[in-house]
Amino acid sequence: MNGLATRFMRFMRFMRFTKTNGSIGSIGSIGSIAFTAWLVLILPTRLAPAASMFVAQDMVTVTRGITGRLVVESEHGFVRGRPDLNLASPLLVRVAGVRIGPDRRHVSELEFIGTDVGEFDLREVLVFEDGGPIDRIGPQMIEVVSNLSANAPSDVFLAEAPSVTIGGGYRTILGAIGIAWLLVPVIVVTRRLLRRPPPQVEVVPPPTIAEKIAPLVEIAATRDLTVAEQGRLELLLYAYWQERLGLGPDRVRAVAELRGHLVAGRLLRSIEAWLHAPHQNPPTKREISDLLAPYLTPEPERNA
Amino acid sequence: MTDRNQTADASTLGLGSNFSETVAASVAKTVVGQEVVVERVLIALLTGGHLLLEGVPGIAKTLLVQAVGRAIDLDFKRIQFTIDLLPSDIVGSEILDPETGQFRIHKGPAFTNLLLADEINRASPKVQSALLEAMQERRVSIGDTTHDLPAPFLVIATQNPVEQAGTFELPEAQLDRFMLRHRLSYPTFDQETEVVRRGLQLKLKRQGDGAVPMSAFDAIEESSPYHIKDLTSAMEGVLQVHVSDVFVRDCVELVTMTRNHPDLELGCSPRAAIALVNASRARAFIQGRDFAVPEDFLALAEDVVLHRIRLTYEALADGRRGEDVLREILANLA
Repeated sequence: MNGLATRFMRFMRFMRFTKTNGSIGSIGSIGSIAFTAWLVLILPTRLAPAASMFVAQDMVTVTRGITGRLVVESEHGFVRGRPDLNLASPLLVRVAGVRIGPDRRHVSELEFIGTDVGEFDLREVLVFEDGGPIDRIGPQMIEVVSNLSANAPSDVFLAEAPSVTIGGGYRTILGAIGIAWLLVPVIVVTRRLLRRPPPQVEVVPPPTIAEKIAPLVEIAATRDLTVAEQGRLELLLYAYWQERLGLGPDRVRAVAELRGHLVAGRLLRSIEAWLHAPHQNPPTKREISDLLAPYLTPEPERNA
Repeated sequence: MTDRNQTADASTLGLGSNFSETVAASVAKTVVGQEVVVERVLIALLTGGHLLLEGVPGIAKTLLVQAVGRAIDLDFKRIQFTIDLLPSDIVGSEILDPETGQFRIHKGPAFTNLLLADEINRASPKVQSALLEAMQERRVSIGDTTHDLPAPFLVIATQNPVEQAGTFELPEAQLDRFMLRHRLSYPTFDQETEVVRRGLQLKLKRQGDGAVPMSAFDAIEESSPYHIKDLTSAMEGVLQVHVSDVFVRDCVELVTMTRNHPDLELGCSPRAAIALVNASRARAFIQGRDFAVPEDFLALAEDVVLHRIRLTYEALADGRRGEDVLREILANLA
């Protein structure tokens, strides 16, 4: 009988007339037609010896953790789930509905969930409402199958805990974040309090124009300046007077004004004559020293 | 100690200052102000360089050049550059003489002493390069014959910096051919008042029974205080101006600094250093000195350097101008 029902169920799966969460009592219209045909034409010939005792039910196949449905008819009353079932039970069952059939039989529509893989008789988790023996109804065989691999977690009611947990859960993590949030300003403030003042770096001011001029003037007293040194000296003298007289940053305008200046102009024109004019007799070192003497001890004055 | 007055050759100094002062005075009869531009035109004439004048219309660019040309008795021609101008319109062409059946040379306006190329950036690049080639080589080819241009030959080109639509900007390589680029500014209030007063004194120019109002061009003096041979003497005088090693070093230093400045994508070529020294020499001559001093190259730096440099994209984005960079370079020159 069981083998016959199993073959039928395979046939039904092949034809896609049922789904794995379906049951005999909940199959669709096409499935019902096929089932009816099977019931009318084939089953009576196979079940003739047992028909006198029970109306046998075929095995219902459901996927583990998915609700299956089953209809139990009995002339002795309605059935319901055993009151001592809990989440550890391999089968959980609830009554979806009850009614009195047209032939005065009690029809109990049951929903069940299988938590373990295997074949079970649903009668093990059922009781009659009147407390009578459950074997007044025939075997209600169900098969719970699993689509998962063998190593998959088996608990269908609880989410799997992560393999690695931080601390001890959500509250612990929140607590740790809160502590870190408080610690950051504490650490920053502490480090600032403990930080030593940086060592005083002696800031060396860039040499003034007068300080740049002085070595060139001294060199000029001892030896002939190179062309580069002469050019540098002259341009520094322009810059010196430009700064001293407050003529602004524009070098072109400043030099034009300087050449007409009463004091600076005379000195600068002498320098120009020394450096740029054609000479039959080059100036002596003494003449050059006299020419540059005013720049050896320059006085910081503006708008002279 | 040697002084300028002791070393200067009196005749040379006299020639230089007299020449420039007389030309400036002659021009001043027609043109009010613009003394610096007159000086730049003289520098270009004395050194054989070419001059690019930039300025808005109506500030007497053409009048000034024509007045300078008249003051030295130079042959003057003017070309208004347009988009449809052809190289043959400048240098000339071979034309068939119907009477003789022979080709004869028709010389273009380039055969002159002083050529004013008005709005040079309005002509196509082909025409620009034809003129710039003539400027460089001072000779042109018409047909199979090469002809020397008259001496002196000076091109003074103008550009309008405002109207740039439909113009062909001169590339840096061609700008480099111009010894100086000078930017003209508006006259001062008093100068402009004087310009208007002079305009009020212009009479009618009679032609037969009719007459047209005289223009400022008609007011240019016919007589020339100098002639080409005087210009030649002045050019010889410029060559006698002494340029010291220190001066050359300063000029080269300035040009080198333009090549190393971080805000400049393109610095000055060696031609810029040559132009700076030559122009300074001519300025010293005009100022009555027989040696060049740093003031000369400082005064001319903007006209010699600015059209030869190109700012980087970053500097342009920061709003930097060539003038700012040059001012910075000159301030750090030492």
